[in-house]
Amino acid sequence: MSVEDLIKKLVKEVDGEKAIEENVIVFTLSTCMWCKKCKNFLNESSMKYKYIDVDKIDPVDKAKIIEYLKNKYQTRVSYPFLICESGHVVGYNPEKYKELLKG
Amino acid sequence: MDMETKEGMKKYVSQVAEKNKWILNKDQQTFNDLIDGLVDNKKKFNYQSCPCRLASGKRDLDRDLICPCDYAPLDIKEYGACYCNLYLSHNFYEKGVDFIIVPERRPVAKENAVLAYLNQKT
Repeated sequence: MSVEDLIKKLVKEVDGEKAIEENVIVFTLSTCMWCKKCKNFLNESSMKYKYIDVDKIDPVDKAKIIEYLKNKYQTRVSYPFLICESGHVVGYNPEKYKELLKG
Repeated sequence: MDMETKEGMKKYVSQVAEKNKWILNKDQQTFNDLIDGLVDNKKKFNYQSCPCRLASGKRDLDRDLICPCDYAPLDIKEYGACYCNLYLSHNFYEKGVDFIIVPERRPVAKENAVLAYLNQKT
């Protein structure tokens, strides 16, 4: 299975009124306060998004997803790691979210 | 002190803060979320790994992330807050901000070691 298919299999969807064409996916830790702030930001923006709590998945899947993010975005991986059609944001950064998700 | 309970974990982080002359985050929602994360990790791994970073579950690889993490003193000195913003410098709130984003100080080599360990679990 490709990593893209693995991600599709593992994501949880959060419905929102704003279903912009950004295809927002955020990689989070269930224990992380910054990740909660990120999800709150998306919820309060009524944004439709998907997420994976990386700490909750199988270790091998974890490694595959981290390697994929590292290689594709050429960055170290920390959480929350938000990706959308317009770009990506590593770490909680509401100003960057607003810029990327203004659609 | 039972660190698998919220009250026990709050007592622990209060002692750490006092010993190091730091203060704790005053935002109750943020503080409680951080305590919940620490308690979850303590129950899962048997050590209170940093809730804002991915732990491997192998103590030797996560030793630097056990709260207070190895990077907290330098981060608090330089930025006024640890990576999670649980521990803050005494003058943190004089800056007029509620939180600060602290860059990751953990060496990349340590993250790569975790990745290698996770890959071995095939």
